[in-house]
Amino acid sequence: MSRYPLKITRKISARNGLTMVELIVAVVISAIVMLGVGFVMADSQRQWAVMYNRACSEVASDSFIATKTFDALVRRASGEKFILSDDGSCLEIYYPADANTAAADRYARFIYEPAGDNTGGSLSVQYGTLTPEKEALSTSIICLNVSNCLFKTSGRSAQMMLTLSDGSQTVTVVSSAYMNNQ
Amino acid sequence: MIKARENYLRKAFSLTEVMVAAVVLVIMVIGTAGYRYYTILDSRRAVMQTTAAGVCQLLGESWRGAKGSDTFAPVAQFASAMSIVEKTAGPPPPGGFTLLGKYEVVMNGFNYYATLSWKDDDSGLRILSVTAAWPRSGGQIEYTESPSSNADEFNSFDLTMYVVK
Repeated sequence: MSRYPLKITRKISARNGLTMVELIVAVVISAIVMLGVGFVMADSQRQWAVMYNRACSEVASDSFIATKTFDALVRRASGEKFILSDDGSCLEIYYPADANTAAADRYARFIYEPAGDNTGGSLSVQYGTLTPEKEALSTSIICLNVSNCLFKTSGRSAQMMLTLSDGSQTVTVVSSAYMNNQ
Repeated sequence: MIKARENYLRKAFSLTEVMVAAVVLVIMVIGTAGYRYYTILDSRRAVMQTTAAGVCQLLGESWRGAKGSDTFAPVAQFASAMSIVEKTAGPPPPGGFTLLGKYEVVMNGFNYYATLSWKDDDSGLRILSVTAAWPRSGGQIEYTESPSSNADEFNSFDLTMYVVK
């Protein structure tokens, strides 16, 4: 019989590896670290989703479009005349179709239509002609999920206070623009 | 046969090595948490500053629409639409300007302290100044002027407009 198999058996029994206690301690430490990493990664993902919604959600983009539309139309409007409804839910302004002329021959009407619940209202703009007679041309819905919208005027400036809510996020934006101030 | 013997004789990871690796990982996790914290904080600050600009524009353009009248009353104008009250403390007006009023506006859960002031210049224009200040920490801090001012705890946004008298 050869002497090698006997030698190898001895080395295996004498080798210097991890003991069971060391292995358990290492596993416990690794588990704690991995739990920490997992918690941080999960929380980061959640916070990222919150920030992404704050910047890019439908509510955020709708509020941006609404304020930009309001600002652009009001600054283009003639300040001679405008109509504000008693409850502040509708504002009608007049503006020239041709920017080089002063006479207003078009109108734009901001209309807030509340829904039955508290989150499903809409804000739209109706465009139309004034001459030869007042006639609606088109209506564009600017934003949905409107929970409240109020228009006001101060001299020749108009203000819009708009609150949008999609159930998980509520955003209030305000805008004020001076008429005939392009 | 010699290689086989070396494999059998090599050492495994010691507890010290495992713990050093764990400490390195913990440092990385703490670094990531710090990065995340400041990202969220900056995002919140950006939202607050954007809202402050909106508050300044709302008050300033409305005042401008009223031709810069020194009887302009923002509380009467907007109280039905948002939370706005008159205050005695707020950011100071620029030098040489006449104070119209100081107000506290609450919007999107943040407190803003706005000061409206005006000044007539020699060219027939009235200069309208609107300053909005908000707590740098993002918390709910009351702006105080006396007995000691806490203005250094606030960020501010200034808007200046001109109107023909």
